[in-house]
Amino acid sequence: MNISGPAWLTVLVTWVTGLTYQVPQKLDLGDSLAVTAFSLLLVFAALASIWLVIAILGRVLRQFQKPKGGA
Amino acid sequence: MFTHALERIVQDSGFATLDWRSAIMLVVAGILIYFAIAKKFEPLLLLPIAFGILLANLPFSTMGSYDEGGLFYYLYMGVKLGIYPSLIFMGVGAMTDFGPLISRPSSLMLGAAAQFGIFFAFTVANLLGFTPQEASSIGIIGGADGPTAIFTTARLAPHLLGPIAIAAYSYMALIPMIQPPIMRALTTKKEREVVMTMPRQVSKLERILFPIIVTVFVVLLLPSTAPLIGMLMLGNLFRESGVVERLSDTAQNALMNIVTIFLGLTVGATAKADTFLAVETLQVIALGLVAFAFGTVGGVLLGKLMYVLTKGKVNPLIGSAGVSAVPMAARVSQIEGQKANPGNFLLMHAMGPNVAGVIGSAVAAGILIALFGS
Repeated sequence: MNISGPAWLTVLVTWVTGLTYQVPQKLDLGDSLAVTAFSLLLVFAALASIWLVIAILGRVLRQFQKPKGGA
Repeated sequence: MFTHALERIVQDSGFATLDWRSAIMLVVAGILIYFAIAKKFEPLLLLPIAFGILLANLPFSTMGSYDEGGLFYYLYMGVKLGIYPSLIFMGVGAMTDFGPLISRPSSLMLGAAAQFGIFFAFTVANLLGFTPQEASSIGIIGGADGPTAIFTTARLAPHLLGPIAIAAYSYMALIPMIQPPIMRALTTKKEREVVMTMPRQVSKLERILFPIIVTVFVVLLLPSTAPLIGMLMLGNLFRESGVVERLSDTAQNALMNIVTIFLGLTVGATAKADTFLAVETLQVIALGLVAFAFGTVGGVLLGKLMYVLTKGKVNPLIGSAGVSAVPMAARVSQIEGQKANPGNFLLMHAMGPNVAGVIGSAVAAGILIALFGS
């Protein structure tokens, strides 16, 4: 599950920034860059979230599908 | 009497009112028809788009998408209301194998990184004076996903539909020419030679759960992506469930073909001379290229980072496939990989980021619509 580390981090950062960022109506360079950074972060967060879910799901399913040991 | 009738017919004909602007549009339509037929540049969409332009620019034809009462006026409702792109996404979902992505979910990050081009072009477009809505629609060309570009533009800047659709599909066809120089410039030969290990087998249960989980998760996170992601994943569930083969077949063949005809024709018919022949159009086309190029840059650079983090197990060339454009971008990764190492086979590995790019561009579109939609 170590591989999902960056996914956790991205989701966390986005939730925090998403709560504090207000989208302006008119965009100068600073606003554009802020929107760009925020939006890219959100794209990463959404896809990282899917990564996280797939990783957890794959791990769980593989646990259940492991061949049972026996005599 | 006869002369008078003849004179009237001539006066009422399109020849009498055909101005130079409409004539230029007819030439543009002719060039696009040539590219579609002779060069096979995305012919499935470019041909109906080009013929739509042709029809819309014939005087008195009332075949423009905005000509109230005309045929395309009604068919255009499918674009305006976001119906056609969503139905096409259902077909794309029914055709897509998400197996490579499920087996290596870190590919999703490459699909996210390749959306950098969208936001880079968005920033430049803002600086050039476009409104945030127009800049968002222009940027989305970089998602290399025609239906997503049309879906976003129809909502945010419908007056730019013609140039944006033409730019998006033209550049998608030109991916084998646009991407390789960037990929080679950003990677070393050693990096391009990396042979990746085969991904694990994905179980049927994982394949079935994937579209359901992605739909619930992404739509909860970004409700505005529901039409695109929801239909994409519905199509994929048709495919993976294995119990509705007829629906899957219809979604990826008959329905998709019908919708493609309507979409292409009506998008083409938005490009009338008075709106298309403007400096703005040239800017859109130039910015579209910037978006494509920087999308490739973003994907390859993250691929390089993954190469370093995995101690050389990931070939950075697969990053460029994150721009979507399934499966052409993955094929470009494969070709470039084989040029560096003839024994290399990157196609399967590149399909992961490639299908992640479809999800990524839909998510990027959802964000822009959420931010700037009315």
